[in-house]
Amino acid sequence: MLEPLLVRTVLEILLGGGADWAEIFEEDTRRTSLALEEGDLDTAASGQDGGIALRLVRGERTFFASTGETAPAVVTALAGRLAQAAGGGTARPLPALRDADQHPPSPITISPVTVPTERKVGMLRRADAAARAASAEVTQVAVRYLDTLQRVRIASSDGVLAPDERVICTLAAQVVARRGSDLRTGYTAFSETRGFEMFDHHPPEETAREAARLALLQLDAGPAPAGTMTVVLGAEAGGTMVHEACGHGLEGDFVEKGLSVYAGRIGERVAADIITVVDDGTLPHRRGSSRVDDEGVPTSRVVLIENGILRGYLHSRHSARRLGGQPTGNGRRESFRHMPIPRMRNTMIASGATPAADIIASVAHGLYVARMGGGEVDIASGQFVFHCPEAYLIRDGRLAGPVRDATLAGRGPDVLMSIDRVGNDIGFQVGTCGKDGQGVPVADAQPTLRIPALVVGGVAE
Amino acid sequence: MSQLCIDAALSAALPGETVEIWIESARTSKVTVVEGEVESSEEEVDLGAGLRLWQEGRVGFAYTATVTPEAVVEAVAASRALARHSRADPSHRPPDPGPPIAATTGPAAPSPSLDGHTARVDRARRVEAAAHATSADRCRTRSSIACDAEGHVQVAHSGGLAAAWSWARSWLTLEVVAERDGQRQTGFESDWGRTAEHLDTERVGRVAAARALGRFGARPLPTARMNVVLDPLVAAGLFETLAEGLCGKAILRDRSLFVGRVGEVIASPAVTLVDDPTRPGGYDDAPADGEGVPSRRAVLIQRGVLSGFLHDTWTGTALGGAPGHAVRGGFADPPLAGPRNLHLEPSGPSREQLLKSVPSGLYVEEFMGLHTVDPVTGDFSLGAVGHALRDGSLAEPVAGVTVSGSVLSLLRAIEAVADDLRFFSGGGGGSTLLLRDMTVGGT
Repeated sequence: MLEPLLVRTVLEILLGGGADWAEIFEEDTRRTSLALEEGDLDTAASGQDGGIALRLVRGERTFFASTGETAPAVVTALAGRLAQAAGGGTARPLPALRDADQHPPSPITISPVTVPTERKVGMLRRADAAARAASAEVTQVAVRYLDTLQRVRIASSDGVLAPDERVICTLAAQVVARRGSDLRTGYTAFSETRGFEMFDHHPPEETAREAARLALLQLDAGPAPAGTMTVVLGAEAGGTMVHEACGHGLEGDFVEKGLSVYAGRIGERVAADIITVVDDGTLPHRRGSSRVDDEGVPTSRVVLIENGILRGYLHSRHSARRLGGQPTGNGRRESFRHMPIPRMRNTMIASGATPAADIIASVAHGLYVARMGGGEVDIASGQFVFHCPEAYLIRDGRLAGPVRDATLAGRGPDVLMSIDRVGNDIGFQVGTCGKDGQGVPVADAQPTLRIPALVVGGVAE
Repeated sequence: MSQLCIDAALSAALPGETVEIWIESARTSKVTVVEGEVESSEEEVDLGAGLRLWQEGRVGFAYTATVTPEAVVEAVAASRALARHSRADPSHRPPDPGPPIAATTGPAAPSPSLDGHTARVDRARRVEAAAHATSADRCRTRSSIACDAEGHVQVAHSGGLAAAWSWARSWLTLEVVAERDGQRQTGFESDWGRTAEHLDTERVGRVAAARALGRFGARPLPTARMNVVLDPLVAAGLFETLAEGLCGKAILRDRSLFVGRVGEVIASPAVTLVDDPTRPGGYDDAPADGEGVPSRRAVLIQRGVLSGFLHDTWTGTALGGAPGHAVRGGFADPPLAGPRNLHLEPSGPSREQLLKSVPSGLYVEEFMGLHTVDPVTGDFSLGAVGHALRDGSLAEPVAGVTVSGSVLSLLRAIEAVADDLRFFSGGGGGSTLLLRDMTVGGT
């Protein structure tokens, strides 16, 4: 990290470009990635990545540069080039730098950097054994351990200096089950902003057994139906639907450019009155949490939709300025190589009043989704799809056999308006969200939901 | 500095060890224009090194973004520490050294510094203007991006391998939004070239606008089995995704439905699937692969018959295949066999002839959820956006439908591969593709 005096100097050089605002983003990230496959440690990789990004905003223009070389001479020269490109002019005075107001971070007990490799590999071996023990039909097991320690410091010309340390541990398992020539897979990942103590309350066996269960279930599953039907999303299914169907459309950059179906609709009804949607970056240990965002703004709990009424958007500094709002702590970047953009963190539909069993019992013919996988949305039209690694037919209010490879397709705004039952439960899933070529860690959650009509994409007639 | 780092890394090898160093550097410059105004200018300087160490069949990998002799030697020590935990496997061995490779692919790009800024702004504005000229209906720009990059790669190991090459690329991408009766639709198109002169500015603008405008009133089709035609970009993306099952590691780990099927008919006779990093004009051409092994062309499916897989040194040694197909995601990723310039060879008809042969069906312009395809089983169910096909022409827009099946049924359903092969930014090549009798889920 740069010396305090140099931070000041670089900001002053950037302000010399006639900037309205300037920023230094410093990053140092250590990662260890271990992959055990067929009992062999296939990948054993660790390393350091990091660098500096400089940003200068003048009027409606942004000048950005990043470099992995952090020698003082390189950084000051780069700042000088940016200031020159911006045209130069009267420099605003730089106030004294002070630390950002930050809420407490997710406490870390055992920093993974201090944990010997043997113990990390040990977690993989435990996971591997648990998956294999699940059934003789489990033929292949691949488990992966990943820890990340990302140290950042953001200094802006507002005079705010915001350091943050983000620790994420992840264990993922992929299991292949085979019956005759039929090959099926199950995948699951567990990840938190927590140290190595994560495994104390969530042993690796749990993740591995869940992946094995999903693979074995697929062997028994029939083909998914194709067509439009009532769909119940279980709480344990996670929040891919809210993430794709509504979260992306509430990101400030899409809104600011008028691209989102939700642009200009604050105060309007955009969902059924039983729907409340929140994004909360402050939840301890959730995968999308951090103290500050990648612009040094403290994370917050943002109410997006309250009882069906649109209340707010997710903002970076830029989108907030453009829309006349306040930054919400959602300006995120994959690394110092990227410009920050508005992103989700932990996005949730709030729990309602109906027991999950009553919701399933209310459906004569439909699909119950017990787990959602990846998805995608087209922001402008609101069309989304997501994949269902675990789903069951519902017949006469009861779960019938499992079905495989169902994909659900719909239009986000229509789905939000049409949800007619909200369960009194909630479940989280973790993921990595991709947007504009940048991946960031997120979590999603929702209660059990009933959607009266959704396109199910399967192969059965 | 990089030669000092290479020397330091290679001389850090202890007796019985081989140390490999991969150094990559790149400079990228990019402007984003919205409605004629420059929204942002970005400049990126990137540098990093990946170190791999073999010790009697054990292997470890470490990387560093600090490319100094000290940091590189530290990374060698880290890779040595990790190697201790791997199980000895005689297939883990360094690639055989050949004659040194030193090459530049294509002419050098204009130096992507802030100096080329004006040219990039002009390009981004021209592509926007081309979109606006397409229709009286106004398209708004989300972003018009012009980007230039150049880079250099060096790889060497203490067993005598040495390769180095440079590359250069220019890109142009446009995303527009059209609005009609309160509805919004987006259209996206991009192009790439060795230099900016190779970019088809007019076409990018026209196609992005036409895509957005063509989607108004899109509705699902009734659920049915029907003929499906894939746009070249869609075909390229689909095969890149399915390729994972044809890569050495998936075969070695028995994680692919193609295991043990070499010599079997697995696809229709129209299918000849080729991976060719030596192909000029392909996005991913380079003289050597991610291990410094000379690039080679591989035929994976020959007229419907499975004929081979993509290998790196490890999987090639273990399974008896030729290496030369290792790919690195970046300096922080160890090399692994993967596709470069994967494409289907044209089976005969032109795009027009192919479309004419389809009395009715679905033309797919975009698949949604490609990352959800299961690369092990090859089963897929994708959201699709496009047009209905009637009497060989594109009719009303379609959205909210799904196309489902398995990779084997898909390979057998390919009836024709048109001769309009194009290579896309990101690597794969695609042609207009006709699939007979696919399940389309809709109303």
